Amino acid sequence: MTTTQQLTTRRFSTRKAFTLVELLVVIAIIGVLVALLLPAVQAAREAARRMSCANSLKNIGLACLNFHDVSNKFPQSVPQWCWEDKTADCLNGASVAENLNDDPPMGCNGQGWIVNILPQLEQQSMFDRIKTELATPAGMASHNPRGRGMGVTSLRDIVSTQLPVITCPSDPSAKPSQEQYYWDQRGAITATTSYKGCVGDTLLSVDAVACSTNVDPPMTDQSGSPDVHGTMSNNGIFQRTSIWSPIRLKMVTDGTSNTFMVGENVVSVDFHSAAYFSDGDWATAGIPLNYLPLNLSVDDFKDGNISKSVRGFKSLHPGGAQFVMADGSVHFIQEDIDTATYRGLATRDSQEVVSLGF
Amino acid sequence: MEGCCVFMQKKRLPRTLLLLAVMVGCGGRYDASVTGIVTLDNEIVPAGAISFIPVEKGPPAYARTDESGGYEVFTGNEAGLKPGQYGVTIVARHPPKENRSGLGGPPPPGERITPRWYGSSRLSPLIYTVESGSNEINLELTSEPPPGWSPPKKNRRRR
Repeated sequence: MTTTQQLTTRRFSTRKAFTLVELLVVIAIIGVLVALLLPAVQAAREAARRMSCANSLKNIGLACLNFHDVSNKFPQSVPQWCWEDKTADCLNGASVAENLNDDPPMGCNGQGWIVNILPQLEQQSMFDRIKTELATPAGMASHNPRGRGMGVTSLRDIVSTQLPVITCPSDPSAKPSQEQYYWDQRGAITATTSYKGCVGDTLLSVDAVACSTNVDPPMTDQSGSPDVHGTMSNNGIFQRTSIWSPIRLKMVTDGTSNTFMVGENVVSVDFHSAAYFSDGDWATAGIPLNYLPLNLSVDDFKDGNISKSVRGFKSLHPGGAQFVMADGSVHFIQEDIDTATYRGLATRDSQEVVSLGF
Repeated sequence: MEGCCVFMQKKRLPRTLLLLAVMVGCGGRYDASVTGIVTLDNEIVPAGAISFIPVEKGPPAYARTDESGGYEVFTGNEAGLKPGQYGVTIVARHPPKENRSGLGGPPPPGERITPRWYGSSRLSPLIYTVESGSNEINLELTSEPPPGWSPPKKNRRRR
């Protein structure tokens, strides 16, 4: 009797608890399942961020086209120094040096194209404030770093407003920044943009000379039009910080569905990203898509050896970047796109036979 | 019974986990990878920018050298590139003299370390065939100009 009781008790006691081995096996199985599930969850989150980003691009594209309906031209940036148009000289084979006006005429205020479309993005009050301030004597003057034009101190609250529609959720660095060129000398904080207007496939030469093909890698002197450097007409929808040549829909002879209008940017590698400023809102397809040297420091990026090579289109979405075409459609472009196709899609009137292939 | 479970714990489980890790970790986008070291006259070239330009159609790939002259090629923001024939250009520069241009923008770039012809896709003599799998390509540059090289005219530059 006693033995039976002992046996029963022992049997019950073994049933009440798991052994260490059983527990470890269960934990291991759960661990494996979680390991399989986690990448899927992360991928789903990234897919959601990418869709939100595509939605912003769509809104920006529609705003640009609505602006075109009202003004009969695409949004335009105003340079902070008024450049002279040197296109003819360059076509004649002359070397055209950077031509900065030391005493530019009034009105060269550095206003970026995103300011143009603020009313279409339902930010009429922001637009009205900017318009009022830019009509004052200080607002009409050039040289943003000296606190004029878009750089006037009375506009600082506006230029540091980070609108969600210009912010890609996949880029944590798309937030107000104190590190943007031209603005950082006086410690001004500016909003930054995840979306930049396509100026075509211009190269960015190291000698800052229009018509030059003297470039550093990753650019190559065989892919991309010679540097326009603010003094020549671009072959994209937007101009490189120049006011003097508005682009209209009828000039997009390659077809609006085959021409990039606005594409993506990663703020943390590009300190030319001030959102409402004419030298922060453009990018070129003369640089390979998604050129992203993420392992460099802020000082490396700002040292002038690299700052030009990061002014292409780039995004943190895996495998490519999104663009809104001039017809308002949004497409994801794979980063292994053929160079000639990529350049062809960036130009508006170069008569290449390219299409997205969708 | 107990012996069997100990066996599972000690041998099978790590092996299973290793297999899973390999399965999860595999599947890169590009078939080929290229690493190597860049030297100029047998001296290491740090902070160089390299591009791999396909001879036929395709996307360009790029790399940057680290302090020890080593590099790894990327296409877009992923390591690796498509197999094929590539022309290679490289430019390395000293740090710029100033840290800002007088106008508030980035300063002009520093002096070149590498000879000019290595920076031009038309003149660079570096052409390599990249096979599937990992490739080691050591870029051994020399300051001896290639035949037919003549230095270009100096451009006007305004700071």
